Amino acid sequence: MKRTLGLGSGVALLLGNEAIARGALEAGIGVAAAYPGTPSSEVIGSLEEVARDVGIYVEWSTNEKVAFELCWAAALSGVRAITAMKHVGLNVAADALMSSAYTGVEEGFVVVSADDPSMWSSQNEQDNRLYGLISYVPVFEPESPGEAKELTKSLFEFSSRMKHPVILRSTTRLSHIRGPVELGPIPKPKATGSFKPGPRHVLVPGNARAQRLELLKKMEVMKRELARFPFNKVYGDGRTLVVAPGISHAYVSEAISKLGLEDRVRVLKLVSVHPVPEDLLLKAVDGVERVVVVEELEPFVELQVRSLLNREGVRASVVAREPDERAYEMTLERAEAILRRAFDMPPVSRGTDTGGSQLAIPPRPPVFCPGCPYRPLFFELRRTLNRERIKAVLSGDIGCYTLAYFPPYRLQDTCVEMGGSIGLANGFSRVLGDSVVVSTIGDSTFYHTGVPALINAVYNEHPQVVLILDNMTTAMTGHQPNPSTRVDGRYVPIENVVRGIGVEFISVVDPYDIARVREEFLRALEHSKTRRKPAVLIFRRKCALEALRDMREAGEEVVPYVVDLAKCIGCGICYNFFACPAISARDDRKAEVDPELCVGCGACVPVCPVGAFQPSKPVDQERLSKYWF
Amino acid sequence: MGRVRELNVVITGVGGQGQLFLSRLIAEMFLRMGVPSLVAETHGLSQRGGSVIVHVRVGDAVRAPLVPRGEADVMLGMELIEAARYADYLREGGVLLVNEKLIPPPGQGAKLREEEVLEYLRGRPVKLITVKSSKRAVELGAPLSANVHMFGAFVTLLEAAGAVDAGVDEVVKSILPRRQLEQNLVLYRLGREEARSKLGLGGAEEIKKLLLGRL
Repeated sequence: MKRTLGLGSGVALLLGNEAIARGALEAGIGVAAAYPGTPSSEVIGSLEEVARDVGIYVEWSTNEKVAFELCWAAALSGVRAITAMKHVGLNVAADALMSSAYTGVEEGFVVVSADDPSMWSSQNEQDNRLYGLISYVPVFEPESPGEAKELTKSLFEFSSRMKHPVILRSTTRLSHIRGPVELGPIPKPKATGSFKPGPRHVLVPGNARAQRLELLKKMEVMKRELARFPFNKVYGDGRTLVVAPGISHAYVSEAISKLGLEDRVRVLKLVSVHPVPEDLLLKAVDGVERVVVVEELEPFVELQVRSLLNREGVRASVVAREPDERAYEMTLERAEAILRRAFDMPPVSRGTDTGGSQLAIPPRPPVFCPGCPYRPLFFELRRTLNRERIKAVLSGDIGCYTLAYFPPYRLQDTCVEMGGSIGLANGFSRVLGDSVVVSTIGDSTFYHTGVPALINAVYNEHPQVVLILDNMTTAMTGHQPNPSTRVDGRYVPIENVVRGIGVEFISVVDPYDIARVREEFLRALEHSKTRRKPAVLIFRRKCALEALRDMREAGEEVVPYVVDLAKCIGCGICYNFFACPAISARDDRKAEVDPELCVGCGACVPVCPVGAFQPSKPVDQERLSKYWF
Repeated sequence: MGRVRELNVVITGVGGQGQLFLSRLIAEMFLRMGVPSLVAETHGLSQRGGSVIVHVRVGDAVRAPLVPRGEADVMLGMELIEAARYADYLREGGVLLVNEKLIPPPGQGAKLREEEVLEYLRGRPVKLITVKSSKRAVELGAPLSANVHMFGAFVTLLEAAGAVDAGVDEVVKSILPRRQLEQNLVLYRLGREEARSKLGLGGAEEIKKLLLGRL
């Protein structure tokens, strides 16, 4: 974003999320805030990069609701604002979203919801366009980074004019594709405003009832406005109308030309998906025999089309999708298959079939990075539970540590939603009499929604061992700061919060020190068992990616480790159970280290029973430890 | 510079090998030559040492971001097992440019051998070209820059196919990051040369034939 900031024209390659951010800058926003979540993070991330240069306020907030509220207040005070969150993040901010439609805003407020069809980085596949229906907030879907930039800019105009928030709905494939974007000038932002009190801001029942009627009226006005929305387009002609919202239009338009259907279809490219532009749709459907809606996830546009045609008595039939076509993202194959079916063309099978040799390809799930502080922690935890024959339920959460679900650790029995670990553990500890209940939660997730659940555990006395994995950053989404991140010495120490809540057992442990990991875990377990109260262990060490970045920047040499083959007994503990990607088995079962992957962290050293790991040349780990804490 | 109608490239490998950077180099290079492209990146969870595929679609006819299975013209494989995993993305007669590097998935038991994977790839109906990107990068003390070597090899392919001309090296020079530019230029050139010598004269003709019609 910095690179293109000075440019007021020309074409740049931008990520969809960067394009949205650029559009917001070109619209003169003054405030941006978010909690990170794939695939939404780069919207605010790229604004953060240039905040100081442009003169806008940008922050990473503790969760989506908090971020939403901050931006909402700005927009209420006449300052344009943008917030961005992944689809499930809007669940956290949903309370605020609903009320924001009642209060409206003074200046443009764009809420970016980045949905994740195919669940590349998510726990569910919810279609957030449906939030538009329940909240009476209009929803828009662009099809490319270039269009996303233009759309964002014009949504700020629309939102300002209507004095109403809007949802810009993106998906993984829009947020994370890089494509050409035409740049426009960036005006001087308006970053301060004024708040004029009024009854619509105070949603006591009497005021809310009045606002409810206002809202219904406003929706009708917006419907009329959107009938002429320039991003929606009708082109081509034929007896079949293909309606394609958002990125589905990109797939459909390519599939139409691949199948040579240009002369047989009329296309409605839809960007304003809620409310649908009724007049435009009725015009498009004129003289058409059937309508095919090609969209991802729920039949959101399809249902609106069906209801409109039904209400207006239009006889064109609407072709239904196969039920399983609701699942997963659009592909060119799927768009083609839908069109082939609609035009009675034979389906095609794809893929080059070899007929040649077969190969059993081992799976490669994502793993903890080399140097990750979570690896020694989960390695030792698994070993301790096995050795002591402890029957435990591991209530997991969302972050890099979720990877402990995979072998060889197998230490996440649940992973459901942000901050859910301690909450579920509260329930498990009440009903699972003979099991130990352990919850794992990261620093960022703890501050996101873990805190209220821990307060509940203390107040209502739910015995559980809470492992707070403090790598001092929000690692999974790209290292956004959270209250545990040290910024110029400023941070909120987790132990202070935990102590303030009233937890009696608190211990801070370096996860590389596996002997202490075992000792402290057993002590915490004893405490929670005998006192019937929660005990908290904070495992603190920086994310390896950050520590290594700092080392590189400081010019520190990364010294890879090697295996002393004379010492190695081929027991396999390191490559089978510790499972660092840099360590693998030789043909004689002894271990070897890949110097391309090893980051020289030395975490493998205490894992080896015979001390076979050593640095390839002398290295002072004591001195390097400043990068890790 | 010639136009590109539709060139489908997939970049495969293990998270952390720099597939994203490689895809950006490709898109940026084409943009400088006036050819649009779309890159579908992989972020978040999938990046952590997992299996990664990045889709790069170049050309004027391209609208949608994902390469359909069986329709990739070129695969740039940063790692052998991942090249094998996604081999069916390549169309018949596609080109598989692969780094001679095998990273065993940790904790997955029996280890595949490099030779087994290569044998499998040789059996595919594609043109297989192996390069030593990781080896050269490690030799230069820049293990994280194997992708730049691979990029050089890919540019040689494009050159053989007539998709880029002699001016391409200047374009590349302008888009490589300023940081460690010299080292990256060395790796880029090594990649260019290795592919050139692997192809020879006949190979270049073959590539031209294989990729013709896409340009």
